[in-house]
Amino acid sequence: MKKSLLYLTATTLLMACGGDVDVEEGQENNLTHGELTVKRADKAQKVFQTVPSPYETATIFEEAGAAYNTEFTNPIENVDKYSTAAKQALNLGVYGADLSYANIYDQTQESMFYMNCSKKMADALEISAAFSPETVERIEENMNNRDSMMNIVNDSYWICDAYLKENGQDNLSALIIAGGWIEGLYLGTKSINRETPNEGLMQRIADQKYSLNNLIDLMGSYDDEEVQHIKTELEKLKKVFDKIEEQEGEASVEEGDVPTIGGGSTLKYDQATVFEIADLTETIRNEIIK
Amino acid sequence: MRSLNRTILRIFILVAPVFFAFHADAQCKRFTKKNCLPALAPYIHNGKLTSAVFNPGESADVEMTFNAGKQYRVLVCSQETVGNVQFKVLDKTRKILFESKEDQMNPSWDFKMATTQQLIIQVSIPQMEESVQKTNLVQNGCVAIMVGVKN
Repeated sequence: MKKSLLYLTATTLLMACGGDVDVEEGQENNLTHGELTVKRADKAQKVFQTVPSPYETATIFEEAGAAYNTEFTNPIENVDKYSTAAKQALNLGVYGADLSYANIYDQTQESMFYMNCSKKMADALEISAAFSPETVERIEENMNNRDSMMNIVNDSYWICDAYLKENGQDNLSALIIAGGWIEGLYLGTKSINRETPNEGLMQRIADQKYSLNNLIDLMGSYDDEEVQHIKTELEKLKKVFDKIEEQEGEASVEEGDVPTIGGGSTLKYDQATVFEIADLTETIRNEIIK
Repeated sequence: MRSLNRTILRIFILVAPVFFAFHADAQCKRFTKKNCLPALAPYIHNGKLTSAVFNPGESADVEMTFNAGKQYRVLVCSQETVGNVQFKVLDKTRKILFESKEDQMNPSWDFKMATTQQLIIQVSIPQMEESVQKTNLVQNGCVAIMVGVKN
């Protein structure tokens, strides 16, 4: 009986170690739950909320006409200022967004700087596997290939997410996501020329209303003080986004070689609200990088 | 000796569910990497990995923003143990825009977005067959909901 119980316990513990190994293997496996949370899991229904990756957000703003400006990103000198795990997690998200931003605009040197800052933050959180020497080498080799870079950077962030979740630090994972989302929105809003604002860019900023709601739901899953603080800040931002009226409508599918989804809900924004979003986003972001 | 056995048993009962959950999760990740990611090509994975172990009869909603001007592939990939998982794409009013076929393994749908929309991907795991139910073994398995994008 004793032997059986010891065997069972030992087997269980070994299997748990397997989980950790998987994170280390993540360099190859590249897999975690990613940017999502199970909001509700009752008897037969799960709801996953997703938040766009910084790479996705940067691409959207770039396509809408946002211009690159090196002064918008978090200065690399700041990297040594972050001493708490919460600040390191938030700024790992921030530097990840800056890395995506620089890479999408083909800023090779800046991309390397922000990769190093991201690595420093990941190392400080003891997630050295996220930016291992092999990963850094892959990044250097693929710096000019946007799609490959998107995959590699996403891989690194999945490794962070997996490591933190499997070590009971989901709260830090949520802070990385929040830091990345806020920085991505900040970079988009900073690109607005207030004299002659770009309608396409303002529309893309208004569209972030959807992901903000998902992000607030995600942050609501954690009792952690730092997460709750960020959630409070995001709720202030939501109050401004709520001024953007959503007119619900049915979507439709137009058949073709590839079907096209049109119609659906529309967001009615005004310029003043977008500027207000930009100002509040800057305040929240500057607090994070302080 | 009996007291030691009881202690070990208690520890096992307390820690086993957590450890088994981690193990199942790790297996699910490995499965997704090996079997699901390649099927997204030539679309680029959007970076969000939505995968979990599901039981028969369960369903899940994934809420996601799809951006105007982009072309997407939604792929639902699952282990054979859970059977043919079906998925639907719904708009915010829960109108069905697409429904995969019942008998399709790892179904996918390619589409373009004319406007930015929040859509819901709803996956349904088939109920366990009666013959299997009699064995009392729950045939759960990994299900991954993947989205790829191209400009």
